[in-house]
Amino acid sequence: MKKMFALLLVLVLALAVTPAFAEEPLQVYGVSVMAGGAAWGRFEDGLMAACEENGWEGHYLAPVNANDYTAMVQLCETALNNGADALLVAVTEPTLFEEVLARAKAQNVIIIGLCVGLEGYTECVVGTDPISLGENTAIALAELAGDEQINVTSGQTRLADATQNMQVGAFESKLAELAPDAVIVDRFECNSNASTAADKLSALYVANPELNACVSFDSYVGVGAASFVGDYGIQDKFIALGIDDGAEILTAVKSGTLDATIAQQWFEIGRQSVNCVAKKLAGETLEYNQGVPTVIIYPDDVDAYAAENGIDLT
Amino acid sequence: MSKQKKSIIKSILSMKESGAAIPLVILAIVVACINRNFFGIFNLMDILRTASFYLMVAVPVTFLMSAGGMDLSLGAATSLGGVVCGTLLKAGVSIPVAILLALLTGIVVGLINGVCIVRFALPPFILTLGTQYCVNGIINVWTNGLSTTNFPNAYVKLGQYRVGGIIPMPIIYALVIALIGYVLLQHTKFGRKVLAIGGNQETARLAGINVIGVRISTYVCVSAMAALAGVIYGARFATVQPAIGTGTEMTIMASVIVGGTSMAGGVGTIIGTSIGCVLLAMITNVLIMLGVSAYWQSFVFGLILILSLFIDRYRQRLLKA
Repeated sequence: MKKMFALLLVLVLALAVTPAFAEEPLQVYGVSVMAGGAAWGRFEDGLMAACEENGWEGHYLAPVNANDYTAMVQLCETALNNGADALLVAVTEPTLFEEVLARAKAQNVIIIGLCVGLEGYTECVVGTDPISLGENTAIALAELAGDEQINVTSGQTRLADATQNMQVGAFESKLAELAPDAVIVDRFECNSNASTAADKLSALYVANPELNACVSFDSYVGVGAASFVGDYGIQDKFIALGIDDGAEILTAVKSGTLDATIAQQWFEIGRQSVNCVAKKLAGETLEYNQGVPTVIIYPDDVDAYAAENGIDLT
Repeated sequence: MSKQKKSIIKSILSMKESGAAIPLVILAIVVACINRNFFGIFNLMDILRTASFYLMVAVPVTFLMSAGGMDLSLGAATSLGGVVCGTLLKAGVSIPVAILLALLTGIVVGLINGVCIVRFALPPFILTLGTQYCVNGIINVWTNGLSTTNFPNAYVKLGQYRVGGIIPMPIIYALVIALIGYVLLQHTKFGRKVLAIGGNQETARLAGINVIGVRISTYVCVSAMAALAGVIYGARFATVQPAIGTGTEMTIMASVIVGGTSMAGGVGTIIGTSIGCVLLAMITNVLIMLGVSAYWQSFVFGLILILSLFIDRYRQRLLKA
């Protein structure tokens, strides 16, 4: 028994100290705010596709609990400890991430911000500009409402999310410009849970019968809104705008329970962020804001968009 | 199996801590064979730092559970401690006073829990769940869900300074708290009282132990240390988030239980709790090092916890036999 333990220990130590002779491909780590889902699942697809094109090894990391930013910091630390060459991360709270990004910078890791970055650390930010997203949402809503009085609620992941608050702020300002008599009934958070979104929307509707519109700043608000509209059968008198281009959202738009969705093109965000790493390695200077434009998808556009982007709606 | 082998296995399994220690060793061996990066000094320090935040609260939770109690509001108390400290610092209050007042708010939460549960015999699960919601609600109203940042450097250093450029300060704090907890539980009257109450509350009362006082003090200690953990979290990240403690209660209680403390009370081990905290802190890290997909991590996490419980149950049966 003692000999077996001794042999095992020697084997472990030998494996631990043996240098790796094979050359490893570039290690690219994408740290998202949640595992999969309509938005981040598409980001993962884009990340992996681009890594495969470049012959790199892509890793997709996500916290066990959605929107756990401190866990995201710890995931970044683990990525660095595991030899990351590039780190793609949504710097949701700059001060929270500053220490780990400083570490990454000291290790010459290429850091790309996803939608949000931290100047001085991130080489560039790839994603949707929060202000233009908010404004485009207001424009889409105003167009769909026409002359009708707008009484709108907005849903987001967390009321504490600084980026989403910028989006909502831009939305409300633009809406006030386009429809001065529009009323913001309320705001709610759903923590990326469609059921929570549907329940809150339903409660708001009961409490405020004049409510006739909902805009989404989280994919699951859209999913929840679609469920709510379907349950109440109010497709014709309630405007529901989704966000992102997940299969369930596109299906809801096609069925009419959502009037449209604003796609952030997460697959493109995943792909472009990897391409930015490639450009940086090639010595190119990167524009800091690498905006990926949003696309408004109406019911008639769904099939073409899905086919073009390889999204399975069955 | 030879007598010698049986006695080695029996002596390993006789340790209360084996439920956490065995999976930890197995994971370490597996990851050592596949990815050497795990044993990098910074990686080990990162794991220990994560574990240290759990341990700061898990030590008093060990006392609480040993006395037969439970507390679902400790995550909320963590958030509250951080928010109170952060708000006071922004208002210009000195660091020691801000920390003391944050601890005081933890003590108040603990007192509310303790008095309601012990004095009024309210069920701890529901009562502390209610406290959790109330405290989180107060935090949301107070902060509007917004984080606080831009703190004095001296405060941030409390969480970010590394001794010798390597050992993060939270590890030192946790070790000190664990040492104090170990001495209290194993070598003081208070510790013996806690275990006695957990073993049989009525017998303890008849033996002259102030059951009410001891039980309330365990709730107070948990919330106070949770508030302290919130203060250190704020320093570590240089940001106080309103929800920084959310979800930590389950991880911390799991660390204590897999470490060998009995949920029924009467048995507690600080060493086991410490190992449990390290185990739970390292699981995600190990899974990433092993290249396990993000989608599988939650499942594997749960599997390891269940395995720990089975090891502990097997251990108890083997010892009885």
